[in-house]
Amino acid sequence: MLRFYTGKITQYLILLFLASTLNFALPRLMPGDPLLYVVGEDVTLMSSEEKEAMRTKMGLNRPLMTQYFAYMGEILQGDLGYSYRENKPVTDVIAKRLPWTILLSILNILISTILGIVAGALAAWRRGTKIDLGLGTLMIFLRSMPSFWVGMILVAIFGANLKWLPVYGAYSMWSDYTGLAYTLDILKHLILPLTTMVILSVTSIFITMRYSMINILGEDYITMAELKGVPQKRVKYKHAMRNALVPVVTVVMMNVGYMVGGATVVETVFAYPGTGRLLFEAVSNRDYPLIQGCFFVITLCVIGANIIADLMYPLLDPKVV
Amino acid sequence: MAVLEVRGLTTVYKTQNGDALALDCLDLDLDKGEMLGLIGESGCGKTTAGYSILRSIKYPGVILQGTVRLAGTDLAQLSEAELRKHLWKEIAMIPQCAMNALNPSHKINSQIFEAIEVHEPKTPKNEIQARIDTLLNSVGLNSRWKDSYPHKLSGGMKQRVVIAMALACNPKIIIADEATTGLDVLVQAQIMALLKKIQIEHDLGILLISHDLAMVSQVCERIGIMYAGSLVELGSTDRILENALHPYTKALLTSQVSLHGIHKIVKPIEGIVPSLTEKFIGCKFRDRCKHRRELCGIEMPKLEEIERGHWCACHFSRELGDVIHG
Repeated sequence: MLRFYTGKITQYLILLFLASTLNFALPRLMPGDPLLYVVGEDVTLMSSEEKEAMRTKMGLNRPLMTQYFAYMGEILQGDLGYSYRENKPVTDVIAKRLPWTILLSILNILISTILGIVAGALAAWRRGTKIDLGLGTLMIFLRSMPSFWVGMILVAIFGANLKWLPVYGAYSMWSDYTGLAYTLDILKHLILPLTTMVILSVTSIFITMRYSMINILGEDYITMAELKGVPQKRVKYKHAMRNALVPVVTVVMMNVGYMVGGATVVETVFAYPGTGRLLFEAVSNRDYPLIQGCFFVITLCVIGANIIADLMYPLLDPKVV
Repeated sequence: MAVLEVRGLTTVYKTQNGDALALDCLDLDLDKGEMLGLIGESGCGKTTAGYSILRSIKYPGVILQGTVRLAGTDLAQLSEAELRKHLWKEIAMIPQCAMNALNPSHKINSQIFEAIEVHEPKTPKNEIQARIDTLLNSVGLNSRWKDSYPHKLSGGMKQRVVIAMALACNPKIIIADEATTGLDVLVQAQIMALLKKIQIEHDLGILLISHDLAMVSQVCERIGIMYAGSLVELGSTDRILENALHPYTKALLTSQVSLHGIHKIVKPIEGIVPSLTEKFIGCKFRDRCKHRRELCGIEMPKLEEIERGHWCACHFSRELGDVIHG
């Protein structure tokens, strides 16, 4: 057991090291003046003395290895560079936006996972019936819609026409709600972007769960449990559910990467101030240190999700340890 | 009176080409303390027979008719809930490929515990635990294995666990469906010896479903031969080996390699089994039978008692076999 966990943690440390090295190498492999990537297009307006002074200030004149070790040291201290556009350290910029994305993502994972598992299991247990057919059709329909379009339709219906829900930002600007009113205000702003994201995520979980459950129901040990006289409900929940969940965990955790990065479209449509929208802004502004910082944070999230998935497998499948 | 009485049990599988008649009017009796072997090639309806007796066949399998009396109770008359109470307590099953019959995410203990708990909710927990220890010991396993997950056990050990599980509620009848599939010959022999031992100890009736005539003839008192969904011959092991009456049984015997006796040429049975979805008139074996006559294409032979306790479904069994009269 201990060996399993230490092995996994070592793997992830190596992965983290490789990811940060790649992050260091990427801007240096790109063609053109590295200063362009740091300061942006203003670099064309700078004199050569100013450029040289900038290079010295940034440490870009040092040998590559020295730069690398300095970079690794900074990463370990949580320093991701400086955004000249925002005039703030990248870490500060991301830290301000990350909580919103985390809020959105965690709620999305929770809701879409629960919905996907329940609907998938139901469809598998009622395989071939109208419920199965109905759920399947609905999920394929949802899956075939592009996210920005879903977002726009929701905005048009619930925002513009019905005027039930706010469609912009994460909280009402120019208001000073406190306590419960503030929480409610945040929740109201959350509904539409969250619905859009759940619609995107739930389908793959549903499909995986349904397929996995159908397979498990065909296993001999399910027949055996039924023959033993175990009541149907207990067979479904105690014997089938746990085994059917293993592939679902994988799909959910793979989705986490998409959610943090892929929230970009949804957050942009709803002007939600998360890291996805930040990435969009950074790209529009050609704010390279910020783009790089966002990538690094997304990498961290994906690795984090994988660690959680790996820690969960032994709880579901005793064969893993 | 027999503990298990099967009469006219008929099961079909619903397919796109119509119903496939997998089990055609099965009549069978099983006594307490008797081991009956059910032999036949793949797809002849052995397993279907097992599940149909338990009334646990899943769609597309549908039981059309027939009665199964277990110690006087007709299982067909029971509701789903009542049937569940009888299953395992009265009649247990060792399913095909018992290695997959254990849930990989539950410990051995909890899987046996569950079987007892469902049927005897009043029995105190420590008593059940003690019984699990005894059960595992009786199938030749150290009781410490009960705290393991199934993947830690070898194939033979899993098979023993499944046998222990089948014994958990002291049933009168056990249906063992290909109980030794996937095990090597040595372990097969051990498991068969174990089955024989528990059969004698618990005075159990065992229906042993298998395709291995040699193995079955070593442990069973009686043998039933199935062909294309029908029982074609039923009798004591000795009589069937000495004096098979049905042409299919004869062909089956000559198609087996023997380690003893004179060296003989193994003869395969020519032809293939007829499609089960076709409506069949007459004897199902006639296309492959050397002795076929006009009657075979017109009338389906019924299972008849040719000599005492020896039944055969062939129009000409009296002529073909060396029948003992009286």
